[in-house]
Amino acid sequence: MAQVEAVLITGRTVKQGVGLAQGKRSDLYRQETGCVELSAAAMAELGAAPGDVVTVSTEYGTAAFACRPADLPNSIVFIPYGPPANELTGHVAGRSGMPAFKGIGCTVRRDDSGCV
Amino acid sequence: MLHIVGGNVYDPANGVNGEVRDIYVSGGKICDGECALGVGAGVGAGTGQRAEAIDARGMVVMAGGVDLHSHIAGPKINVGRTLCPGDHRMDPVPRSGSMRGGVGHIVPSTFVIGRRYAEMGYTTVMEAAGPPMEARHVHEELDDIPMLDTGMLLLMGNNHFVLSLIDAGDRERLADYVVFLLGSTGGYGIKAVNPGGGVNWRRRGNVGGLDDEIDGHQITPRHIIDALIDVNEELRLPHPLHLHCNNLGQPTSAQTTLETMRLADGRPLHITHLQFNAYGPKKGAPFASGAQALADYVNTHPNISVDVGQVVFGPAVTMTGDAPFQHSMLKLTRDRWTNKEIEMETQSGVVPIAYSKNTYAGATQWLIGLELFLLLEDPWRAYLTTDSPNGGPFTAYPWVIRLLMDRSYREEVAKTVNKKALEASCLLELTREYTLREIAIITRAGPAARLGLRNKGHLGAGADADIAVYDPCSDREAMFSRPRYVIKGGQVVVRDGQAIQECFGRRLLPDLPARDDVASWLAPQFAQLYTISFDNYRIDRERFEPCEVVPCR
Amino acid sequence: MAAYEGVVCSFCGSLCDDITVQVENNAIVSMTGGCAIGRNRFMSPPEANVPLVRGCETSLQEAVDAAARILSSARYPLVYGLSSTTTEAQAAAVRLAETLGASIDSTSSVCHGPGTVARQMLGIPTCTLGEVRNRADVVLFWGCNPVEAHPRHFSRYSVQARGWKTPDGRRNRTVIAVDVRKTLTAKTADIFLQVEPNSDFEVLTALRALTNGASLEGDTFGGVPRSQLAQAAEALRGAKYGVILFGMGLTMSSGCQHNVYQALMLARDLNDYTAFAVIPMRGHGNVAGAEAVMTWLTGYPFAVNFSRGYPRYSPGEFSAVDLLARGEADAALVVASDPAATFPAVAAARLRQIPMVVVDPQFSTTAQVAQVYIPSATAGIAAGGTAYRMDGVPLPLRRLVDSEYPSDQRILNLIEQGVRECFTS
Repeated sequence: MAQVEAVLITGRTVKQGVGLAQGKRSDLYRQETGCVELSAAAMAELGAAPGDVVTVSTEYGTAAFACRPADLPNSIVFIPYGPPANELTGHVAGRSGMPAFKGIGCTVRRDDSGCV
Repeated sequence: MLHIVGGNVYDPANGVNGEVRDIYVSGGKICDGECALGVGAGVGAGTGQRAEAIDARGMVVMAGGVDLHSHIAGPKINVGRTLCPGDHRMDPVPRSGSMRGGVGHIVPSTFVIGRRYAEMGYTTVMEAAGPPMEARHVHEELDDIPMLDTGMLLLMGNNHFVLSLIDAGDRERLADYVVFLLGSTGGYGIKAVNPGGGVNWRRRGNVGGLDDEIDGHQITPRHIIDALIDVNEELRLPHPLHLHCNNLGQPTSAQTTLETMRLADGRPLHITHLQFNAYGPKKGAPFASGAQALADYVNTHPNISVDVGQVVFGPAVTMTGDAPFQHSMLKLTRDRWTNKEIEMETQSGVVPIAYSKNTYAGATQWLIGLELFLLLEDPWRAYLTTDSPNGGPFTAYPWVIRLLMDRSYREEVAKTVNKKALEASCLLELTREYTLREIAIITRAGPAARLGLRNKGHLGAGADADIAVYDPCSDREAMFSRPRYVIKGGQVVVRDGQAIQECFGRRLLPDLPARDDVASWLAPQFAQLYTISFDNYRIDRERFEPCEVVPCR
Repeated sequence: MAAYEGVVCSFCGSLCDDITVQVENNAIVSMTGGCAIGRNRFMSPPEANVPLVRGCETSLQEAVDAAARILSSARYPLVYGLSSTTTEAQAAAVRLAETLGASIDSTSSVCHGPGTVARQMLGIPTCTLGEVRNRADVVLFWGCNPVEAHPRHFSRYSVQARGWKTPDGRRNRTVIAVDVRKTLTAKTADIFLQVEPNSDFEVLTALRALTNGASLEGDTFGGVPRSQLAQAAEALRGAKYGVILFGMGLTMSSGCQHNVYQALMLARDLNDYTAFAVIPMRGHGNVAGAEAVMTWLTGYPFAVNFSRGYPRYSPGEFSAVDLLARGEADAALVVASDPAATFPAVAAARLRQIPMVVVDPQFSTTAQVAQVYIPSATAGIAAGGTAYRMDGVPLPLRRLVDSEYPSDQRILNLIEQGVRECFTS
């Protein structure tokens, strides 16, 4: 099973915002927040084609996403804000209330079984 | 119905100086005895309602206090609050009964501001500097200040349209625009802060006097002040131009302020926090007192009024539209500093500081304030302020009153301050002690009259029933920090120095004269220069309710 | 048919107020102006939601009573959200929290809260967005992506916008972007500094040093070559009126408030040479208002606790995620926010365990797991009030259509009344 070590960044996208405005039960919102962006090299290393399902794991949790290529450094993966991303983010004690939403170490795996 | 029996009444506006008088209240107003007792045909007549009696025998009765310059609401004071979590933590105010809690003490939360003003016997306060574009914010905070009638002075001294219309010599449109600004943002009067300096601050410059150039304009600060006085007088607004002079805080400030007062040339002008403008040059020291020359001028020119802006020792937060000055404060403190430019119209700076009696500068500022109080002969034109929280919090007023009324106490404190500063001061030669009548003038009757508030600051029939009743005490600080009763709009809101119920006051607005609508020429320019729509700049009139419309002069 | 001009879109902190909306039969039928997100916000018909108690449809009054019972019987209630409603509703929420002796927190704590902490430590040189449009010739975007998060920011305020001293818009400006990703915002920049994740503090420190003319050892700083940093420093020093716009790339990355502190110090240093301002790119439409309201009512901007009868402030202690993650909050009132979807898993899980009341126009993820759900009129569409733009400029939100449900403010006031009754009975 191929895997890539990277740093997870979560953030906003236009589609995520439009989805929000349409409602969180909208298809657009669910599709967009269920995506992970990877560099072309990371996609190749995983042997993943756009739309393939990968799992992303951090110390806080694991979730499955459809992958898509993006202009990113190989060491960074990006997931739009949403409930799936928040399976991977965590509470950090001793901060100002700010959880770990960006810059979290993660592992991306392509599960050959293709199960979500 | 309320009947305050047998107090020693200090009502200088009506020539009452400590005589025993009864005060009658009906319908939130003060009325004459016949009316209240139902003998005549007035408000309380025939209702058969029994008046609640307050036994004020042996007590001092005054109108509710009126503060004409205090930073109590809006974006600037909220920045000050943001910068002072440590100060809040030292002064928590729990909610009690139906009364909201909050924090103090230098930049208190809104409910605490109202409560603490009332607990000193104050019932009317004017916010000193509102930016038009953020006036909604000022009003939202004023709405959350209980116990007080409030208004807002509106910043105009660096406003692009004001300056451009003065450039063009178009006094008619300038008057139209001033009325538009006051009307659409709920302003009470015209405030100017370091006129022209804010424009040059956009390139981190300033103006150094009345005749310096202003970027992009053909005029100087002199022209701005001159034009704003003219417009203010032409419109007969209730309050004269309220001016924070150029060069504030500099050793050139006394000279600039003298020139500014001369420029008024007999026309009414209010110079605010004069202490911060009363500095002269001194070899080997940052500045010296310029109080004598300024007081001499004010004493001989009845068109001028001032508030003192007394400094009190301890922590304070300076906040003003004079952004260049605030940047110079940062260079002294190297501590927290907020600066903000508001498109096309104004700017501000906020810097926390502390006044120390051990330093030459801190002691000299304190001494200058007291010199001014004691040298200014006409209390009707010299008012008590600390420019709160710039010179210290308003809660220090009772202490300042004690300094003014009690010479031996004043000298005792003076002898503990920086020696070099005291030696350079004339304070110990000034033997004057304020009387209760004079205190009633500088804290109530005087500022009310100068604001044009005909129903405030006195206890004559028809006045608002805003009344403070104090237990006489030789320690005047104790006396004025713990009124026996405070009555707001006819209701007892403070008893034995403690607020007992919250009430909400009214917004003070001037009865603006009708002028030409500015939209035809202003709206297109506004759309080019501002990032909000013209219609959203204007605040609906209903937003200011309940309000009291104050007649023009 | 009624047409409304100058309508404010309160989705994001840009609060564009140049929108025209047509209303027919109590429905918005068309709009002009606004971005894709705004269009969807105005044109998506409101969901036909109903008050629910434990999933069962009920009346507004029953739902309010149930909410009051839950909150008044809790030992440690949490009030959370607030950023997508009016300042009037925010003030009502503070009042309710005070009555309850609750903790109250806004979404600030999980977005720009650390920036606010930095502002408390240092203050901020800042300006309104009109100053950016009219004057800014150097614009630095650090850890923010307005192209996707504030879609009209470039054209209305910061990049293509043509203003008084910037008549040629984009051509009058040098645009610098700093990010870990080459975002759509970064792609438009004249200078792009791609930093390694969690290296912002290091890069800012190096940039400050170069801006102040100090010498530095090393060739790269947080992944950014010295030459690029020097180029950026020169551009910053050369500005006539410069602006730093920062986002959650600073507040959420390692260092949090310290990153923002360093950005504020950079701007403070630059004010010795030229005019420089900083504006936080606030996300939610009225999160700036939530901080303003809490500050004037309690002295503190977020993460406030009333359990002792007076406000106390402690981010990290009274902030919502911490209270939930530590299992302290035993009931929650969520207003106009969706923490079950936006909080980290551990905090979201606690929310699902405790009795929760949700007041929201949308039947959100959080609403779906709440004991009590009360639908409200959407602020800025079916309810009027005030919202504060990211630069603190307050704007009026208007009621364009009528809703069968009251505003958030009204609902919160009803709950507060109910709570008082529970306490006295």
